[in-house]
Amino acid sequence: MERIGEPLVALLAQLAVNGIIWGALYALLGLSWNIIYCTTGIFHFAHALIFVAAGYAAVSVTMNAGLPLVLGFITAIFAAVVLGWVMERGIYRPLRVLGASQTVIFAASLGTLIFGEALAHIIFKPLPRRLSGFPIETINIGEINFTTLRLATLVISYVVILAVWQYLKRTKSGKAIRAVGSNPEMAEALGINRDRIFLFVFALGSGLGALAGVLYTLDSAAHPQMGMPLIFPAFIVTFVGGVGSIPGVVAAGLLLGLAENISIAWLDTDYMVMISFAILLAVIILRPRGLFASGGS
Amino acid sequence: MKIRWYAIGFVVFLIAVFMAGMGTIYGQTPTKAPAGKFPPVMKVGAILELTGNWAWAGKWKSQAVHMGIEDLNASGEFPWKFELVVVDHASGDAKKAAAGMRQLVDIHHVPYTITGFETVTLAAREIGEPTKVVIVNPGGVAPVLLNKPFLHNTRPMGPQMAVPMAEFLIEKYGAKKMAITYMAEEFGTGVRDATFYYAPKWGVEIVGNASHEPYITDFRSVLARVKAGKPDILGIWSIGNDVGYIVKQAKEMGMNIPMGTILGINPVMIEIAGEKNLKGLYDCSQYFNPKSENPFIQEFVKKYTAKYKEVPEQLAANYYEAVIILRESIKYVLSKGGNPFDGGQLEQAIQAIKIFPSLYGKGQMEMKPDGSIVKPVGITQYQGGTAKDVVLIKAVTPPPSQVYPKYR
Repeated sequence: MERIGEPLVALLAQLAVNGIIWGALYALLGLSWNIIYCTTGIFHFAHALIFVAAGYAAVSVTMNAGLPLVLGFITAIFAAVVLGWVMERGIYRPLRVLGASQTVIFAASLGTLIFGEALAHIIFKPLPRRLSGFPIETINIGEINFTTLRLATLVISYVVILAVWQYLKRTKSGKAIRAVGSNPEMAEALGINRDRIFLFVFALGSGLGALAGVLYTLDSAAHPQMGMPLIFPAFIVTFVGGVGSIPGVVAAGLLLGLAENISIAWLDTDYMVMISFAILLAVIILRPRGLFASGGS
Repeated sequence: MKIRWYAIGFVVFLIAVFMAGMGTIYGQTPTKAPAGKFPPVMKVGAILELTGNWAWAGKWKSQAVHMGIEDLNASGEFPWKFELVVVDHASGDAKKAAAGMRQLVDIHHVPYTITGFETVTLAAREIGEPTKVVIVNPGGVAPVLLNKPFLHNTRPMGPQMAVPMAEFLIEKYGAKKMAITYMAEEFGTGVRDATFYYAPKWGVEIVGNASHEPYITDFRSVLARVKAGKPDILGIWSIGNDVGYIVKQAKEMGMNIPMGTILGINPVMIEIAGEKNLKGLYDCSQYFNPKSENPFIQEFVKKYTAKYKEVPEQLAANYYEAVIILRESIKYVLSKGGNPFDGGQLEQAIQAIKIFPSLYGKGQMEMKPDGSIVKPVGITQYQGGTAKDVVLIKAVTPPPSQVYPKYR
């Protein structure tokens, strides 16, 4: 480990900016998973496949077929929504009908993820695939810099999170989702179709995940193992922020992004994973319901 | 409690199976053949990355080794057939590598195994040495792989390539301040140590150094740390995908300084970074020249291209060489009336032969007693196009394997 001399302030500012941008993406990832977990109670590990599917869908449309990036985004979201539906309808619902325990459902989810990654490996081959089409320029503010893509990631993530938050808070269907998440039996008794809500949140969560997946792919590349490094921050942010809490997801994303990046000023990247899980453990021990725990979204 | 006779019989059966297994694991002796007679098949092991992040490299290695074995069989030189047994280490999983090596030794009785990656090679060697299986590593480049019995490395070690790379950049650009990024593994720390050891001799100050975990995709904060020192040049002591991301993100961050790496420019880097970002990147590694006029190299390129519809690059060349070493060792053992199915005798053959045909340079490589190789390396620069379009700037003789006094 090397201690950094001057200019430390400029370095820390740059790391903070990096952390804020990552924090936004972590929040979007977290929201995409949180909404599914909060409403259905399913520890949907296979949600990692959504990122893979979205990344490759965008690459296929934009890079292989030569179509505009916007179509890549749309296709990715559509593909992810379909995949999310298939997983709910084809895997989780039958298990619920059979009365499967949460452990069995988790095992099925994990198995689906492993199967899906192997399939992606066979279909798309192991070589990473770049996604381009977004105009990338570097913006310099003093000693700090970031790209137009990273700025777009920050803005898009927070705009979408705000929109989803307002949707869940103010619309009738949003309230129905929250009702099912709070008390599914009561919600059903009041005439809300739980299965339909489950399908909808899988679609919504998968769509959000697809958006995050494409933004990530634009910044790095699509590859069959890209799901795992993205799903863990989603879990951490959910449980640190509080299940069902959107402000919590935003705060937790920011905390995680800043902690991981600022620590690099003094520590090597080996410690990043430790820091992430140390934050999770600390919150679980000190405040098990999360920083912004609430009963619903 | 009444003990059923069949229960006793079952327990005895289990004990017998266990004892047979123990005998197989610990009592294995090399296949002994009557004089002049050999088993019909010699199995050769390969532990490669068939899945995971590095599967794209594993594909080239696998293709080369398969072709090598097919060539051996087609040659009819030996009165037995060769069979290649490939196991997957999933891009560096040492436990899988050890399990695979166990399988190669216990079930397939291989006398010779081809590996790659330092963790994989070391794990395989732990099993290979006591069971007298020769391990040839044409991939891993960490100095920790040296001085290990039954292990031969056919690629210059990382420091042997990093030192000429750094010296070239320092001289060409008159650099006084250097920064490095390196993988947080034995390979990376070995190269880092070499850099720090030589820096005073070069007259440069290392103003930034940051390690990184392999397989991450965001290096911006790592680069911010090294950028803070305002270096004149950047040494990227990383591999494959990582180099692609580092170069791309460094350029995005405005680090438009000369950069050098080792271990080759490959299609993955170009895919990740894009041609524009990667243009100008220097590399010091084995320079495989598919347009060489050497007939031996030409024949290899022609066969490989015809078979796999792609021009081979250095990894393919390295792994094909591993089969050449096997062939020459077998010939030597047979010339002495020995048993080439005995890995111990193959090991002695390698130590005796020392100079083997090579697909590099003038067509020869020398295997040193410490397990290192003497092979030419070249400094190339990527100027656009495919990975095979790199331009050779300078051929260099790498320093001896002990580039710095102490290995980690």
